[in-house]
Amino acid sequence: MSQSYGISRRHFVGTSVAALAFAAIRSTPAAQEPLTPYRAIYDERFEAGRRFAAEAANHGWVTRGIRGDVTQVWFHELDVRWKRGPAPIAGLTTPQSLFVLERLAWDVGMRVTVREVDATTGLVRWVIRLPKTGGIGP
Amino acid sequence: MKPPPGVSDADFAAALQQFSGVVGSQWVFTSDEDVGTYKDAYSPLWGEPEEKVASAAVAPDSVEQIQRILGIANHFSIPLYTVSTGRNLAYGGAAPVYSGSVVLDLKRMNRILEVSEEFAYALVEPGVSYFDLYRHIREKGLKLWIDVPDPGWGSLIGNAIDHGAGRTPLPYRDHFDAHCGMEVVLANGRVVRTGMGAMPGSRLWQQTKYGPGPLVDGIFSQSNLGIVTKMGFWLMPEPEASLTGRVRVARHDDLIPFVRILSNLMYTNIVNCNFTIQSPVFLSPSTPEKEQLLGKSDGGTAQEWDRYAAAHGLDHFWETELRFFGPPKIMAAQWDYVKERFATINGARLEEGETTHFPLTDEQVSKLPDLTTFGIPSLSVFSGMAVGSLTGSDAGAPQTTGHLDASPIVPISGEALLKAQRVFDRVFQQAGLPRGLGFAFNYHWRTFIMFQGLQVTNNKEHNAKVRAAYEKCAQAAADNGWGLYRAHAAFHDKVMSLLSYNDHALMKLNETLKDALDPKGILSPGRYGIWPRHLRGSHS
Repeated sequence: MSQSYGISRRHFVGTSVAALAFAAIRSTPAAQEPLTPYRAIYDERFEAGRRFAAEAANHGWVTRGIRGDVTQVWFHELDVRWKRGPAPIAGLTTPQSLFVLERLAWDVGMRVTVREVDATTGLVRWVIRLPKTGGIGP
Repeated sequence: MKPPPGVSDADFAAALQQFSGVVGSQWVFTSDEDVGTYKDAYSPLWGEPEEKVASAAVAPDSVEQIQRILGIANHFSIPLYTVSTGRNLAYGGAAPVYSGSVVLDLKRMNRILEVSEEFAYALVEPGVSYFDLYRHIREKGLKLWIDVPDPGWGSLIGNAIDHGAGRTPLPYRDHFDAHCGMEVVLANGRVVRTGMGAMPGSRLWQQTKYGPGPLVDGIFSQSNLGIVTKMGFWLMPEPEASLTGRVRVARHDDLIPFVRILSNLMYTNIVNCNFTIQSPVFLSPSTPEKEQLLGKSDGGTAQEWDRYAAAHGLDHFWETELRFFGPPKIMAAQWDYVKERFATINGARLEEGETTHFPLTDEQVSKLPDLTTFGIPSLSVFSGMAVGSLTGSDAGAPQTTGHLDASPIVPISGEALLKAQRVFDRVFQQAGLPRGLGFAFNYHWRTFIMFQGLQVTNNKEHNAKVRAAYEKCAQAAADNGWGLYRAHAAFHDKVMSLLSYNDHALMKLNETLKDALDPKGILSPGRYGIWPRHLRGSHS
């Protein structure tokens, strides 16, 4: 699976999405309790991602920028932390990045509890945490 | 929760309860949400009645637990579908070939049992991922490399027994070829160790594949004859450095001597890297003239293609990048010899690239454009391919949810590469799907793999075209004497049906082994077309 496909990338055009996304993640009805993610992950290639990170940092969240690829944050931080047990994360990224993080999070029983796609940009705001009910998942 | 076919609700409930007694209820998954995680994210059968789905999953963490699960499954005739980490995307993921099977998820068996720097090997369990072993080696400061596929989140064992491959030199990048010694639990619960592992106290289990008697390891790869619970892998000692060199040839038909020289360099072990032969002409954006040439019955003559390249300002037709690993003096000698050999092709251009010295710091690693070349696991392959717009599609077209790789293999010759390109291009052209022209890989020893990427969606009409094209690729490969090295689970029956020599004698042998080793047919029914007796005929 090493060839690259010419998949078109969406480019951010709005400016208010990030602030809305952050507020929504903080206050999402799906959240069982106020969320303080272990890491807030944003795609730094997009203005919306950078704004999200700025707001998250203002609220004391630890942010990590990616450029589509989650390898470094996964290997150096998430995998290390999750080997000790689940810890929630949140973010504003492309669907591709979330696709990978979601599957890695399944291994420690966490699920995507917020997933909202911005119709204009295609970026996703999301929260990954232990589900409200149910046991440890695969 | 629907029980497996032919199993009563009561028996299924009893079996699940007994599984819970073995592994703990938290490791038996029955909710739709949990079982849904075992679906194939890249399924070409998405939303169809035939989509492969599990009935439940159970996750043991020891051989002893597996043995007890097998006893229960045999008693209640529960089909189990074994996965190591279930991340075999593009080839079926964690979804069972036989819908309704209970996934036997070995992810919790993730112990790195031994890593020997002196003898350059590792012994691991199925749940150990490439990231896990890489981290272990790095933390211990061992001078060893692993070889990783794209991506690196999967299991060493799972990838090897599916004949996966990576990017470092041979033999390491051919993961099954680089294995040495297995532990397998048979359907009756008996534990077998292969090679010298069969001798108690052996110090050679991970150092030689040969012991007295038959080599049986192969029957546990791409099959369903046992559950592999341990496997040894040879690891490459960390090289001093790596050097790259690029080779370009000017004309269409230069491919013939280009590949002939390259194959000779490979067979003499002067070149032993993974490389991609690609054509900037075929990979260039579509134009009306290009489509016209491709649409001709002969796919365009060499002269026509050379004129096309010249008219579009493309100054070479084929290229590859070679990579050498080792002491700088040795690599320099290899590259000098390679240059000498390719200089016999008129107009060949050879350009020396950069030299990378090892070990690399974390900061250096974080800046590498391609980690897998150096045996470093990565997830970057997903950045552009997991989901998005279909290549070449209009706005509003269905979004791709993933892809399949039809993986035909062809002989390492320029003639075969050109013919295969024409054959597979015709399949895609007729199907109205984006084409994968202009490249070939040498993952395994002595064959080219010409991956044919097929993007799947949630659109049933599109996926039906994809499935038809996949099967036509497989058939076209067989019709030309080539083949596929591996197949998506949805096509195991089709691909195995092509191995029809002497009235399918090979499959009959596989079935004989299946009947002997797994008489109740509980292990991964249908995997690679091997069905247990009671399901044979209705599926195969």
